[in-house]
Amino acid sequence: MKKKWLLALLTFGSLFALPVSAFAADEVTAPAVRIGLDSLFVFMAFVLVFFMQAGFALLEAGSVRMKNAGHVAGKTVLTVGIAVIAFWALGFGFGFGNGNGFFGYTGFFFGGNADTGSFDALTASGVPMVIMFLFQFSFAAVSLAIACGGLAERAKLSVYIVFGVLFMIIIYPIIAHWVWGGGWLAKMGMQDYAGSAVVHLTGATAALVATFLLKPRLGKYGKDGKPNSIPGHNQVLSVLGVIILWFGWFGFNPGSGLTALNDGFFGYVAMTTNLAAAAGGVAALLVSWAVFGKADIPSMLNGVLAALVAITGSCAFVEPWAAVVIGVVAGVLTFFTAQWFEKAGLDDPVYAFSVHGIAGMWGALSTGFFATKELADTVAVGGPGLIYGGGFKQLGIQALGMVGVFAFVLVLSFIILGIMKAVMGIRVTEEEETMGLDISEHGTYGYPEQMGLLNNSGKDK
Amino acid sequence: MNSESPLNNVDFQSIHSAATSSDLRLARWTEESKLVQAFSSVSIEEWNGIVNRLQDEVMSQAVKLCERNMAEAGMGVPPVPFAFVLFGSGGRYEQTPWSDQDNGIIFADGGGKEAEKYFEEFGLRLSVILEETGYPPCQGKVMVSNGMWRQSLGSWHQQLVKWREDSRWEDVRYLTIASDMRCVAGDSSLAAEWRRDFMDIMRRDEELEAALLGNTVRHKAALNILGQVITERFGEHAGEFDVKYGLYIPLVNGVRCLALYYGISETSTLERISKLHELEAFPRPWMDALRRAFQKALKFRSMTTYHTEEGVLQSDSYLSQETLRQKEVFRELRESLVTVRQLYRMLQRQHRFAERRRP
Repeated sequence: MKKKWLLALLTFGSLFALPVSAFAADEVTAPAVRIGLDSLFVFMAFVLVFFMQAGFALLEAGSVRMKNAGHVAGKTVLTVGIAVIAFWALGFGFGFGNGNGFFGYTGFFFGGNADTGSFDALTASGVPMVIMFLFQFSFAAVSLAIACGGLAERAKLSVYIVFGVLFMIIIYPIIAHWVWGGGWLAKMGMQDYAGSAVVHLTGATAALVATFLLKPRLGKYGKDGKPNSIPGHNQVLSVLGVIILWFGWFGFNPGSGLTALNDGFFGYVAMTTNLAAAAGGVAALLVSWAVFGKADIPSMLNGVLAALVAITGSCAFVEPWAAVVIGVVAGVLTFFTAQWFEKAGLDDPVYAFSVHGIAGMWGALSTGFFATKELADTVAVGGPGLIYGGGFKQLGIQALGMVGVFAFVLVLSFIILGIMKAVMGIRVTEEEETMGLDISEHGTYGYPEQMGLLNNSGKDK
Repeated sequence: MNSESPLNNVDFQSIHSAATSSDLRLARWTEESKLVQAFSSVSIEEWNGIVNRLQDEVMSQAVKLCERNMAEAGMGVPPVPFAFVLFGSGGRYEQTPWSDQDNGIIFADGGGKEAEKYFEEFGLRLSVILEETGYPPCQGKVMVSNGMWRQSLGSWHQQLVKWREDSRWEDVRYLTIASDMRCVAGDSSLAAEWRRDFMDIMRRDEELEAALLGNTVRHKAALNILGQVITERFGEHAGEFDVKYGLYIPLVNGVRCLALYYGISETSTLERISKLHELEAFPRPWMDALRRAFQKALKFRSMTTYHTEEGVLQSDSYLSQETLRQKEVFRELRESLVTVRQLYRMLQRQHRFAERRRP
């Protein structure tokens, strides 16, 4: 019986295999192999970047309290779903469609490779447009995940839906168009290889506005404004999340070259990425040890992510030593700004703005200092940075781009979230926040047994 | 004390004449308020001395009240002589007006079951009276109401020997607590005999040395490697400095450890430093730095913010941000913390050696 099945399977399989291999044999030309290889490469990068959503889910869930963990992890899947649909319908067209220097306006409701003509900015590599769509979508989804970090533990579920749609259709696509869609910053030669500014600063600035408009979580600050510690419920989840993000970043940065060829240049990008991440994590741990007298694990995790964010824009433009410097500066800078924002009364539960915003700004500026002429020529964007004899030209472009992205997203997010706050309200009630969003928004806990025990022990008192 | 001293108007008579615990509480608060007023006009040693003398007087009056109370309840008089002793900051003669209870009883042998019963009741009542007088109960239960700290001389001996033999972490902690014993009321010869016995039991050997050091070397880091003072990060005391656990307790523990190591029987930290000084066990300038640091610790401990709550002075152990902003205070604090760090580096080094020698 078993043998029969196997035989049937083999026959069935060969039916498919035969015509395909015959078809491919017809076209083993150099360009076909190149495009095939690049397509596979970009697809793999898409898969890796998509997997970063798992990293965000774990990192965020671990960083919040038990009563909100199910909600925070679950909403990651919700926002990915929203991102797919909104980006496919309108976002992709606004971001990468042909248009003016500000946004695109062709290729809505993306229909596949037949619409390639609407996306001139993405045709240079020759990778089929469907794969480019998947790839660009995964970056946009990362940006949204970052933005949603600022909402943690106190925003209504509906905010994720409404803001998620608007972010994916308006905010992210416009910025992406400026730098990667042939917009005004692209024309000036802004260097942002994989999106320190486009992806991270954009998401983080929206998170900053959300954090500001939502106000701190209950109990975060005492009567006299002094901060209280609200530690996450599971550091182990956060660590695993960061390792997955680090891993996914090997799709994020090297994948942005869109080609597996080019003498393995993607390997070089992976190396600078790895160096920066390591340097940022170690530097942040050491600086926390020096300042607090205790080596702080969450600070180290933030240091790794901040360094990855910073190297994202500059990974292809800088030498290995500069990658280490960029990572160290990002790790240390984020450590201090996280303290500073906390003291200043800004409650950012997962440190979204310090990690992605401040480090994103530093990353955007960093190529203005460290870009080398050879590497800028290899990538064919912009020129050398300040210390390689490029003067202030590239640094000026980077600074302008950074300020432009920050200011635009800040204003637009303020308008969108401000209107949402006035019209629908963005924060749950005090009672809902106290009982936890798992129960108030979804009706079940992410940790039903433990929360049951906690609630019962509360009643006994 | 010269006749001009503002401490002269402290009235011990009102303490002695208090007939109930609430009288005693009021008298204590009245006199303590005078002391608090006088804080900045006298030296810290003088101030600390008078504060502790006042506490001693209040507590021995409480013991008298308790004896009377027992007699009135038909329990009679103490069947054997006893000594009321203090541990913790009281034992070290370093109480603040807001210290809690750390006390015990040593009673003479030969009273049998009757004595045990009497002192059990006596301990329970005394801790209630002291609480009514405004001494909060000790969280670690080092109190007369706890049988472990209320025993006859003979059973004290057995307990001390057992602690010494077992030498687990908890046992060694009890030994260090016991080492601060000081008699404030009752038969002081019992306390003296207890002390002789204790010093005999604590005779130095390598295992005890390692255990004592192991119990001491952990302390809250209050200075980072950049030499900055570490303040609280979170909570209502964010930005403030924890004097008790950041400075005072590490000094007390470190000096006590050295004192036990060198067989010094004094209990007050300043006297322990003086004895170490006489022994010339350490370089003189270093001992002087230690003494200065400890005097500052005493001063800062009383500079924390206090208030009256239900007729009792209350305080936390934090230096406020305003206090820390005073340049002089901050400089002195940093200097003291540097000394603490040196002390602990030395203790940690000794600990490593001791652990290596251990069989």
